[in-house]
Amino acid sequence: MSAAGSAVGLAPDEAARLAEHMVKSELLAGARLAEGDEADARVRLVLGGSVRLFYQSGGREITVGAVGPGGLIGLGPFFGRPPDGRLAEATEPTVIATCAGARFLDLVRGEPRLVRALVALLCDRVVQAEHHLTQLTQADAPARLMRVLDELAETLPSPSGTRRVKSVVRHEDLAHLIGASRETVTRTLKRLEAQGRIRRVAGRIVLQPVDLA
Amino acid sequence: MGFAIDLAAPPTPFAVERRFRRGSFLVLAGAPAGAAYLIRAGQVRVSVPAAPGRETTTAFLGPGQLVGLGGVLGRPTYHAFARAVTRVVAWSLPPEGLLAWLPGDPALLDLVLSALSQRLALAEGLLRDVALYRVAARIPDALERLGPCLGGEPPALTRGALAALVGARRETVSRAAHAAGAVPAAPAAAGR
Repeated sequence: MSAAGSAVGLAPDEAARLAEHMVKSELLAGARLAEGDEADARVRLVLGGSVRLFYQSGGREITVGAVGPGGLIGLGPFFGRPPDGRLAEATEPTVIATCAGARFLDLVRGEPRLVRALVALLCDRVVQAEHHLTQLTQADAPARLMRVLDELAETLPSPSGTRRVKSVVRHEDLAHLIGASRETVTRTLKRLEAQGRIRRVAGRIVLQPVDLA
Repeated sequence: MGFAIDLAAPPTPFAVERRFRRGSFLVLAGAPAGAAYLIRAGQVRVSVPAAPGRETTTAFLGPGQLVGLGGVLGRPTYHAFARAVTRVVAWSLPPEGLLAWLPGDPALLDLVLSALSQRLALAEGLLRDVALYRVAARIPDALERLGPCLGGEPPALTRGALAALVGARRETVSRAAHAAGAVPAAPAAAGR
């Protein structure tokens, strides 16, 4: 899901080249990775599919990132990030390549394109997380939800100015992205629909053009 | 905290030392992202603009941290403000030059990757705390995550700054700190 995800990652050819030195595995949707385990200081390179990064507490969740093809998971512990309960779960059938953090860095060092991509990837994750934090602390639930929907919608509007959210999203997933309950999301979507800011067509959310008049 | 490189020496031949008074800005959100800054000494507050006139504090960074990520990402502008909360000495680095230099300098590369990993851990931890935890639980967690980002220096935080970091009101932080006794007496709890 791109709303909490990253548009930056290793290019497919770079990822494939690195993966030749790593152990590949396939994950079913819903499979969890052993994130945050100190004894498991391994780096995972996502080759296909998507992995959601999130925290859970008291029956609630917050999604803090989504890692797609070319993205990395698990570099933090190598640099001293302590285990903090962050969870990682495949959101669709996903292919990853795994190796020890030290080995991964040995593979990357000295390769200018890979170094550049790795630094950009981490910078992008920081910027995304800081924007997400700003959104969470400054805006109310409708504003947060509209922003997430805006990020999930097609970039180019239709001739009538509407923009369709790219896939069917569950209220629960939206709730995890904006740090609210599923009930709040359901209520807020109804209110946004009543205000004419969104429509729901065949299970998909469609953003209505902004009336500047 | 020891660093893989000596921050007192220029990290690259093209690094330029810059000094900032307390309260001055290293970078402005929305301004052209012409340089990245490697902090040599002092502490910086990072905040991201939200609605007009409002911003969210997302980090306090100290020696060994990198400020001005927009340029490194190849973006035309900075995404955040970075303001000196103490006197700050930093190495100014052109982003393109830095990216070209890193593959040949493993120690500096490790420093940069480590700094970014620590800042990401702080931002993700704050996200978790704000979304899932009460204010009283956010404070010790935020302080613990700040440690690595400040290069081992004690945080130069007022209670107001701590409140901004954990997404709470200053009064709430004061109450929570008083009730829990979890916040160290100084300087984090030295409210102003």
